[in-house]
Amino acid sequence: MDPTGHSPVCEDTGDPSCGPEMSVQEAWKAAGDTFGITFGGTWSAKETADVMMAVNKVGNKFASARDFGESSAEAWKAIFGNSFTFKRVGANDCTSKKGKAAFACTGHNKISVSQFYGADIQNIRLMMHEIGHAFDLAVCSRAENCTWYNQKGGAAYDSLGGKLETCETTTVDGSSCLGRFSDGPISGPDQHWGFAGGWDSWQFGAYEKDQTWEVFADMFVGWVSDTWAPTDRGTNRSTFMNNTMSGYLKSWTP
Amino acid sequence: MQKYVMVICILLVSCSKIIPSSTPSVTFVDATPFPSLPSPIPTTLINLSQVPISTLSTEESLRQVLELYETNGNCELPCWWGITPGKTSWLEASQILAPLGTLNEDSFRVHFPKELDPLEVPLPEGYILGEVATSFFVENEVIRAINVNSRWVKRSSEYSLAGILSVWGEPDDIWIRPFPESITGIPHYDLNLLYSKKGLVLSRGVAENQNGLMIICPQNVLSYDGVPPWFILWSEHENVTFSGNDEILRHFAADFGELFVELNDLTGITTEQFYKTYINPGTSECIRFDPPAKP
Repeated sequence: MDPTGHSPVCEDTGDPSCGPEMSVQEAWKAAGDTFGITFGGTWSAKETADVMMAVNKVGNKFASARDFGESSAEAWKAIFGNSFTFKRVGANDCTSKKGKAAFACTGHNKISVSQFYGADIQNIRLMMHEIGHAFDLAVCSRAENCTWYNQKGGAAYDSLGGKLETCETTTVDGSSCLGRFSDGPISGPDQHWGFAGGWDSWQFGAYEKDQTWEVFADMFVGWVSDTWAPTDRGTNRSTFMNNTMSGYLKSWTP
Repeated sequence: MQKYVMVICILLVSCSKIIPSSTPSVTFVDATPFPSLPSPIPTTLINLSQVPISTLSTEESLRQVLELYETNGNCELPCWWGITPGKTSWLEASQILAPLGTLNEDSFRVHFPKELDPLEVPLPEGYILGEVATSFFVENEVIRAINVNSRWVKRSSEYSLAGILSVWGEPDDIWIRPFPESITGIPHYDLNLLYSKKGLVLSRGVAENQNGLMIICPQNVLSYDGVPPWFILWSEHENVTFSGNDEILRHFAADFGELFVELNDLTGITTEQFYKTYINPGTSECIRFDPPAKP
């Protein structure tokens, strides 16, 4: 952590690498002014910068896919509105009913973080994964009969629900599947089932690894970063997300 | 646990260990069991449907597969099943592999009788016992590199770390990617042994956190998912490094190099010390180190 408590987050874009350093408070104000984001709980400058880096990357990708000439912040607010909260919570505050503690958990326009990784790049991708869940819920909120407990109509259900095939390596056609077993082999033609890396690197949905919402959130990370395994499965995931996301995003008109 | 009690203590005399006095020599033979063909330099891959490929009966196909598994096509690593990186053309490779299994644009799959798979069940979900899944880096119609699991090189090959080190020799570089925290709740790591002019050995394993230190036992090559190390094989004419000339590595892995730390920087252990320790098949020594600092 930067002992000065300063974080190099830019006021205009939220990109930590592009401007003069700011204090955590200044970074929060900039995030609120530009992206409508509020921080709750105790955050370090580094953690704040990681979150805003993820937010800015997602916003830029939204803007690019929507193609309405928006800035990163404008595209972000077009999808999530003017209010989105990141909350730092205790180690057990994202624990499931089954007692398993997660690094983060996501509700409607709210992401709670109980644990961060050691490396910025992991934290940025973890935040992208959670924003992927938030996007899923944003789609859900626009649909009928879609609730937090029943995501019918959410992006994951809509796009993957009926199509999420479990990876089956015994057939040639298996290479087109969008499902996964664990985080996949470390190498070879099935590496990481098409994702660019394994758990804690490019995949974060270990808790319910084979469920559509977790697969979708990890594919959201790959889509924002435009990075996949250099395999047939990676190409299939990339094509699927590029085709799916632009349709959703353009339906939110400015 | 007992296996974690013995750690590599390079600086402590009390932890010194017996180092094997000799190492089997390693020979990489450019043995290509094919007649020389004119070197084609087209810019696109050959359409397999246009290549005359023999059709074999199921029995004959299996016989040839088993023969390749017994002999490795009468060649030595980095040659695999008669295919020599930097030398064998895609056309030649296609003629060998297409009749035996499923050959796609840059990958090959064939299923062995399950009883021939050296792995033990149960394997994790999604891993098929007896499946050989291989991919290739083809450039200018020549196989530039091969990606294959270590257990599918040759029946007599040893895929343990000691076995691999005894064949490959001392690595030029060793890199580790530690994951001290994991969403799975299980710390883990990736281990890469680089041989600049031969290939790369990729392994991963489960780690342990103890009193703020991370402990890894690289000899436990099956600890993560029950699958032995993978090989990326290339020609001696290549000079692949982690910090550059890594075109081959990036061809096979999008996140190659990310979060990796050189063994000596992370643990204080040299590649020579690593090699001399883990070429011993009976070693129970593990490596203990401070994980990278958290911001």
